[in-house]
Amino acid sequence: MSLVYDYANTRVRAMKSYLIDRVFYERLIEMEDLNEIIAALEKTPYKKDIEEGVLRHPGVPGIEEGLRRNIIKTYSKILSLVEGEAKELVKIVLGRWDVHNIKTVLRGKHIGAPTEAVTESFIPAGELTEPFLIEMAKEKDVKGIIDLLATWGVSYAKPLTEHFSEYARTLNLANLELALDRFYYENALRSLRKESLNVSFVKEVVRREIDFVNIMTLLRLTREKVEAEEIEKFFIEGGKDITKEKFLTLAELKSPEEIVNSLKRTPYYEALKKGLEEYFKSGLVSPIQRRMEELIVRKSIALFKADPLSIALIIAYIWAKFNEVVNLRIIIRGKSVGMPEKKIREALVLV
Amino acid sequence: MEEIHTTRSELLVRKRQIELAEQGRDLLKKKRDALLIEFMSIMDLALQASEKLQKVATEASYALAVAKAVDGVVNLKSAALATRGEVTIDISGSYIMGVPVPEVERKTVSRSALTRGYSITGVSSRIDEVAERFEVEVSTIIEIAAVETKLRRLGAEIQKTRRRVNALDYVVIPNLAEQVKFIQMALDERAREDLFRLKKVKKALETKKKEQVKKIEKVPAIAAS
Repeated sequence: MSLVYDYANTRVRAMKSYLIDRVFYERLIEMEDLNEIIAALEKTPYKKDIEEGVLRHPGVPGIEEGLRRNIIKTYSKILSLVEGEAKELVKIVLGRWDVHNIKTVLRGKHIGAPTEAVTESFIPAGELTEPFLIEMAKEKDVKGIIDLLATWGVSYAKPLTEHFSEYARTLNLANLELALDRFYYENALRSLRKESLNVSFVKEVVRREIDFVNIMTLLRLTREKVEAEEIEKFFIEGGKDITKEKFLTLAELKSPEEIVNSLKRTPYYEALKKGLEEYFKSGLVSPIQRRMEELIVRKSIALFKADPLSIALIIAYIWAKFNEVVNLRIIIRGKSVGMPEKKIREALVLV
Repeated sequence: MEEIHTTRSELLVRKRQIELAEQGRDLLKKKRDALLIEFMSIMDLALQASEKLQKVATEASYALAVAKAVDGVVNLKSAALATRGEVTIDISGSYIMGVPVPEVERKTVSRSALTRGYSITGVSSRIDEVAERFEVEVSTIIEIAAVETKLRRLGAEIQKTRRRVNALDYVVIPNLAEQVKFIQMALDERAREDLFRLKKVKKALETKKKEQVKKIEKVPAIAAS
């Protein structure tokens, strides 16, 4: 097992050493203007992408474009470093970007948006490459996209084909999206049936993510006073701590507060409780989501400390890189709108 | 300048015109006062709506900034593609003191997380909250649009009425009064001239009569001699 991972892990370990540390984040937060931040980021692996991004779109959009390009390149590089089982496992983790891209193109075609409006929202960091996505965006309508996916043997064509007649009848895209999300997780868990240490690492990450999605669905819909029967339709199978029975019981509860209190025995309780305090002040569930995201990121990045000759290091790096891009975006956006430094620090997840 | 016929009938016409103008002015003043009362009550509503709009717009912009920072513009744009829609508003009309004002249907465009077009399992609650806040902003804009249009129409009508009252007060009625005075003076003058002429004629007639009497008295005297 170790031979499969030692080359890739060595490379990833080297990439890890370029991740931004707390001291650098602190320097960025204390900087006065955007140009200073751009100059500082030019001393990081983001240099080339940010330079290109800023050339195309000056200011914040350019930096964001640079960050997007950089994460796409990084994930593609990781995919190119691994082979065999490792590649399959990385593909599963990066599959969330494929789902994002397919949803984007479906949404665009659903409302008849121009191709450029669709392509600029792609993040081709998964299995589906940018040229493939552009081809998809050129299709006329939702049906054309599903047919193209089926022709090219992309597995996501299956749930879309199954739910297309319902979409054609109701023109409700949300059902297709839900089918895609469900398929992504079900398919990931199906591919992770094998009993091995590497599979168990990825499985844990995926199952934790399913729990996260289910908990957030419960909190958001309960806040909107949606009936339990309706909430049930959004359950995604395969979570670690949120079983179907538990989900159904939680769906009967009347408020996010009751739901959080019923999750006392899960590993999510502390994060949920912290978010709940902010929910009481604002009435919004997004602070709870941010605390949950922080937990997920911390748990996934903690895999850096797991078996050094396993997939754990790569998975941890994928999450660390994602978190780094989110942190940089928070600093840049926060600075550009004059957000107080304290607020920016609170929003960051520093591990 | 308008040619004025200094006749008694013209004087009566002008006096009738003054009476009508004063009557019109009083009515317009009443209309202006009524419009002002209506205007003030709507202005309170407009002020409240404007304060509300300012608050919801700030909240929406903040939510958008947070979502752009944490979820990224790409995710936001993607979700926005799914939520795009149109808002149709019914507009009817009504009258306030004869002023046509639009009645915009108070429409709440807020949707639930389940009706925004995307599945909530794949979109963050931050993006949901951005949508939620901008929907409230759109509802408030519709509300304020109705009130502000009413306010603008009433304001324009008050201005128009005030200009009319001023025109009657400071131009039309004083002009007519001047004309009446002028005609009156001309008629008086003419009456005096007539009186003088009559007196003259009377005097001439009397002189003539006296001369005739003298002549008659002289004829018998000649005849007698």
